[in-house]
This record gives sequence, C-alpha cells and structure tokens, in this order.
Amino acid sequence: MSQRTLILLAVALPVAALLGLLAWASVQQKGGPAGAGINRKFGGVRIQPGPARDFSLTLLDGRTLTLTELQGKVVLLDFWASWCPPCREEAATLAEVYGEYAGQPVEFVGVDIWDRQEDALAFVEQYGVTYPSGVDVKGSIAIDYGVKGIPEKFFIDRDGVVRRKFVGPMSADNLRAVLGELLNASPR
Amino acid sequence: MAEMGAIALWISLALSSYALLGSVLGQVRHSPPLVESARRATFLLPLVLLVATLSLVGAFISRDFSVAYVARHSSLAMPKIYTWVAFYAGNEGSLLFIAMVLAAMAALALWLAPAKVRDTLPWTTAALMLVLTFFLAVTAVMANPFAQLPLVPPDGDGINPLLTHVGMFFHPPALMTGLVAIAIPTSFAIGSMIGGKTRDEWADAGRVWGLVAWVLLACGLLLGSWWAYTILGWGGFWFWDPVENAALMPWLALTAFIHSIMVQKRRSMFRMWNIVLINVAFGLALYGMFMNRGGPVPSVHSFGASTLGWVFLLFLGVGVVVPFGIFFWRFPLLKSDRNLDSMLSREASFLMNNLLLLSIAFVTLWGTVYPLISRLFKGQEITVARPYYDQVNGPLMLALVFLMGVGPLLPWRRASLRGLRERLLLPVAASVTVLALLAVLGVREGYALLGFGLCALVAASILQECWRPTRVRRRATGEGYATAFLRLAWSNRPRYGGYLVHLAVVMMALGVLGGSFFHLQRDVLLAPGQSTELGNYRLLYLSTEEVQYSDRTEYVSTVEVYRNDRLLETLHPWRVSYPAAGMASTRAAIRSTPVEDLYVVPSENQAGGTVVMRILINPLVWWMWVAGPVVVMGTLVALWPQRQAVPSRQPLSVPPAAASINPARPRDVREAG
Repeated sequence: MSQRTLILLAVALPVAALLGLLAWASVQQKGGPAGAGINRKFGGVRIQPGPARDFSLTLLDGRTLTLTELQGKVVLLDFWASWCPPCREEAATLAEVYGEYAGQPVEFVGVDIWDRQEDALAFVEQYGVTYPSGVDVKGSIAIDYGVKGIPEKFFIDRDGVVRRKFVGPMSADNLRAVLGELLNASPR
Repeated sequence: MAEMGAIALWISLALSSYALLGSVLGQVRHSPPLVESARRATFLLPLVLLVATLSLVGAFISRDFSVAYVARHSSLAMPKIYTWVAFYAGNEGSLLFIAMVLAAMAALALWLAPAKVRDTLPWTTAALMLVLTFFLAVTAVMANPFAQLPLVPPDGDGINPLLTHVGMFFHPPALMTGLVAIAIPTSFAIGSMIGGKTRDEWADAGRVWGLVAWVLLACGLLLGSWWAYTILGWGGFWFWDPVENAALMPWLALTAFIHSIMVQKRRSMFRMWNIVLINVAFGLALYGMFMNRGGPVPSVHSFGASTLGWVFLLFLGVGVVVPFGIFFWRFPLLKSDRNLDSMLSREASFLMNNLLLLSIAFVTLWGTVYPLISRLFKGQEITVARPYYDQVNGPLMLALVFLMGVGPLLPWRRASLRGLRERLLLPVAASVTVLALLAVLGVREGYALLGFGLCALVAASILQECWRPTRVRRRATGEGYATAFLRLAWSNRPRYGGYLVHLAVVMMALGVLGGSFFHLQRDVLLAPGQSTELGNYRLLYLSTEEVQYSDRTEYVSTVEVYRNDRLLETLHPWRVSYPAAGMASTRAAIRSTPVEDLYVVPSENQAGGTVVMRILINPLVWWMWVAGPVVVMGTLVALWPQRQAVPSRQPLSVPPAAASINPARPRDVREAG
C-alpha cells in the first residue's frame, strides 16, 4: 500500500466510525437528537460515595421534610419535573415499587426542579404518587447534588451516605435490585 | 423593525450564495469580472448582516414581544444591559451572531490577504462562503430569530439567570467567534490546495488567522472557567463537561497548528502535517458546534431541545470529508522540501509538542464519546468523569510543560548535546532548587512536586532566553538593559510573544496545581454570630439580608474574615432565587491574593438567618485569571505585523547551533520561533 492509501485509511476509518456513532446515538434519541436537560437513557453513573448533603424541602402538602429525619432508612432521591417525558414514563413504576416496600425502612423523596407548584400537584395526582414530593423552588438541592438533567436518582444508604447515582428512567427490576442491595448492605 | 431584520437575513443568504457560486464559476470559466464581483459581495455581507443584527438588538431594546425569540429570552424586568447576552442566549440569535462575525472576519481576511495567496483567493472565498451560507441558511430556514408570534404576549419569559454575569458578556461570544474563526485558516489551506499552490504560500495567512482563532478560544475557555468559579458555587473551575471539552479540543489542535506552522514558514517542512492539523481543528470545531446544538450527550451547556442536531451532524460530516478529500487529491503535491535533520532539534520538539497536544485532544474526545460507545456495546451509558481525564491527561500535560521548557532552547536543524547541556544548566538548577525548597517545606504530593519543578524549569529557561541575548546586545550596542531587551523583543515579535504566552501557561499551571492538590474545603451550618475556622482563617458570620425584587429574592450574607484575630476583610457572598424561573444562582465572595483564594459561598439559606456555607481555600488560583491578559498580550505581540520588505526566510549560512544563541547578529534578530 502506498503512503497515501495508508494515511487515507488512517483518517477515513476513525472518522467514519465517529460519524457513524454520532448518527446512531442521534437516531436513538427519538424525536430529534436533542434532549438537553432531559436524561433519556438509563445508566448507572460511577460516583465516589460520600455523605449526603442535608436539605429541607417544602412538600406539596405543605409539610417540611429534612433529610436528617430519614436517617436509618434507605432513601431514593428522585429529581424530576412534570414537563419531562421520561419522568412521566417512569412515574407509575416508581409509585408501584414504592408500594412494595411499605413497612420496610425505605423512603422515596421526589425533588421537583424547574417546575411550577400547580403542575407538580397535577402530576402527582395523575400518577398516584404517594411518597413525599416537593418543588425545590430555589434549585439549591439540585445544585448541591450536582444534577445535570432529569430524571436523575440518588440512592442514600441507611447511614446517610450517597451510594449510587442513576441517570435517566429506571425499570422496576433495577429499582428493586438497587434498593435490595442497599437494604442488605447495612441491616439493622 | 423585525421585518427589516428578516429581509436583511434573506438578502445576506442570497449574497453569500452568489459569492460562493461566483467564485467557483468565475474560477472555472476564467472570468475575472465574475470573481471580482463575488469578492465584492463578500465585503457587502457584513454590512447587510449588521442591519439584521441591529434590528434584533432593536427588537430587544424596544421589548418587541411579537418576535418569538425576544419573548423567549427577555422580559420587562430584564435590565437593558443584558440585551447583549440575551441576543445569543438561544439557538436563533447565536447562529445570527456566528454568521455576523464570520462574515466580518471573512471580509477582513480576504481584504488583508497577502499577495502570495492572491491566485488562490477565489477558492478560499468559495470555502468561506460555503461555511457562511450554511449558517445563514440554517438561521433563515430552521431557526429564524425574527419569527413572529401569532399573539403578542404582555411580557417575555425573561433571561436565564445563570447568564446574568459579566463573564457571560464575553465567554460565549469569544468561544463562538473562536470556533468559527478556524474556518479562515482552513479556507486558506483549502484554497491553496485546490489552486495547486501547495508550497508555503498560505502559511502566513494561516498562521495569523490561526493565532486569532487560538487567542479567542483561549479567552473564551478562561472566561468560562472564571464564570464557573465565581457563579456556579462549586469552587472549581474546570469540570470536563462534554461541551467544555468540545471547545478545548479544537483549541488543542490549534495550539499544535500555530507551533508547527512556524516550522513550515521557516523551514518549508511539515506541509502535509499542517494541513492535517488545521483540518482536524476545523473538524473538532464543527464537532463542538454539533454537541452544543443537539448533540446526543447531555450537558449543562446545551442550547435546549432543538432539531438542529441532524443538520449540524451533516455539516460535521461534510466539513471533515471535503477538506480531507481535497487533501488526498492533492497529496502528491504536498511533499516537503526537507526531512528532519535530527530528533534533537527545534523542529523535532515541535513535532513532539504536536503529538502530545493531539494525544490530549484524542483522550478528551474518547472521554466525550465513551458514554455512547458504552451504550452501543454494553447497553448502559457510563459517563466518564474527572478521574479519567486527570489520570490520563495529567501526565501528558506535564510532559507538554517539560517540552515547553526544553523546546525553545533547541536550535533549528540540529542541536549539539554540549550546547544543550550548557543551556539547560540554569533551568535545571532552578528546577532542582524549587523542588528542594518545596520538599523542605513539607510538600509530599509527587505530582504536584513534579509540576512545580517543571514550572520552574520553564520560567527559568524563558528568563535565560531573555537575559542572554539582551546581554549580548547590550555589549554590542551599548544600550541599557531595558532598551536592549525591548528592542530585541520587538525585532523578533513571534518568538518573544510566544515566550510571554508560555509564561502565562506557567501561571495557569500554578493555578491548576494549587487548586487541584492543595485546596481545603468545609461545609458548615452557621447561625448569625457563629464562627468557623479553616486554614489560618476564622470566619465570623454576622447576618443575611433578604432583598425582594420583582423577579427575584436576593440573600446577601455578611461574613468577617479574621487571621490571628485581626480583621482582614468583610465578605458579602450572596444567593439569588428566581421563583418564576424556578432557579437559583449564587455569587461566591472571594478574597483573592496571589498566595491563595478564600472562597465563601452560601449554598442554602434557612429560616432565622441560618445559612449553609461552603468555604474553600484555593491556593494559587489567582494566577490563572491573571494569565488571561498575559495570553492576550503575548498573542498581540506575536501577531503584530512584521515589515514585509525583508524576505521571511533566509538561507542558513551560520552554524545552526549558534542560530538562536546570538540574536544580536543581524540574521538572528529577525528569527522567528
């Protein structure tokens, strides 16, 4: 092969692969390759476990919830918004799995960001969400947890340590697996 | 008002299409009048686009909410000064902005083009107009900023509060301008290849516009870091976010290019390599734009949902395939005159620098597409985070700093080991001294020690390179030290401008090392009157004042900073919440000194004036921000036009080892590099 052919191949193959990958990824994001602010794909994100930042959240029913109240329980912190399609997609799943863990030391907390109170109430009613949810009006919880898009979930173990982070909607099986893992990790 | 803008936008699209077709047809059919008329059209374009730009600005100022874009990005409450920011806050306006600056720079580049490239200028014009036509067509057809709303809303949605920061006045425009400016050197390269003038005709114009794009991107990146540091309240300045990376990668490729183009200018080597580099830089810039406007990787920077992704992906494909296609077509013409004389030479050190820079760019590219690759092969999206970049890019960057210290000491063509040893003596001694001093002071971080040692090496080698020729010149001419140095530097601006930029890079390295390895952090809950300690500081939290505005509530805290019970400063970090936008932003209060920054940011305001504060001590970060102006100054010095009367390349008649030791000699005074 001549020098020219070699260089041609060395440039063309990676470029073609990259363009192909980008096109494929764009096709995957149905409805146009967009989706800024909305996480569409499931995925565990590797994080360094660390103590969860405390916060207080005014719930939709007017009560105030602080994270410290939930010490001793496995907490699923779910960042969502009523206008976000993937959040809607998984809302029923979350509500269902939450029901399964009734009576166990597990709590779900929905943190609604970039949203309006009345839309949040309508959403919660529509999907039968029974776990505590509230609007993070100041956006401070989202900033503290470094939320980049929604839905995004943080799993906090019974000692108040953030163990897992998931981006995008989760299936019921996945939820059960992670919750089970955290429950078994620190049984009391 | 808006109608005028819309009309101007369509006219400019027609003009740029005309200039594109006119240049190509005129060149193919050998019709000079057609070529000339196309050239004139390119000069008219910035004026027409200025009309479009001004009419959008006018719509913002007059609060014309019948224009959808104005309604979406401003409101009655928005101070008028933010019009500048609102202008490019969304896809539509930012595309118009890009078209405007590209048209202006293209006209300037074509007007100032040196005589050497005149023959191939029509092809360059065609390439530039192809890029401009793309942006204008997308703006006019798919993202028209002048689109009207059927009903005029009483008020607009307002501006994204995160953008209301002085950094936002410069960071996005500098980056957008820098990215699109890469089209100019690329077009000169393409023009010279199509026109068959593949010796070094385009090297001067390519270097100048490469430097312009480079300095704009550098400013954009630094300002972005500064913005993140002061407003996002995370206490860091670089996050390896996909879009940050997207702007960093073309900058890295450009950094390689502005070095290796010097080799082509002086030694007629690296002809193919330079074209590859500028094509890569252009491709990476298009990749960055694609990521920014609907790319498949979520990022805090994205412009929000848009269907433009496909168009930009297509453009990315065209923008990579066409320049490389032309390159392979002209491959046989691009042979260099010479080969490397020795691996121990200035040329070889530039080549090494290029390879390191491209490696960093590649590592970064791999990190940004890795989530997609993992999704493809494992079905699970794994985001690559900071540790990957730090571990892989960290050593590469240190190697680059090392090269920055040694490279300038090497003469062109071939270095003698003895000469090199002599010139390395002082820098190495300085480096060892700094290492020993730090070790005695108790610094045990291996990486940091290495980093600081290398910084000392570079600084010492630059000072030596300023000092030695100055002394020689002083002896020869009898001028004072200052005069001798200034005249010397002025007579060889590319080289000394480069040194200034290298010094700025050392300053940035200090900031990165200090901030990464030696920062202290504490999050505390403070009630009024309580105090906390961090490092040598004691912070006394006094109170928080709550101020209500029509669109936001500001919480301004007062914190007194003491060291050894002496009041140093009173800080006012604040936090704003925008209920309408459901957003909050913070503004850290920073007590900044060359030694360290004390960084205080409230992350939460609770009832009763209690506040959660994040306190950081970031050593040496001050130097990062000071480096910015130094980079600009150095680049300006390097760019300042040299008189053209003297031929730019000269035969090497003196022994190469002496080539850059005695710049007082007539031939060396003009040496660039």
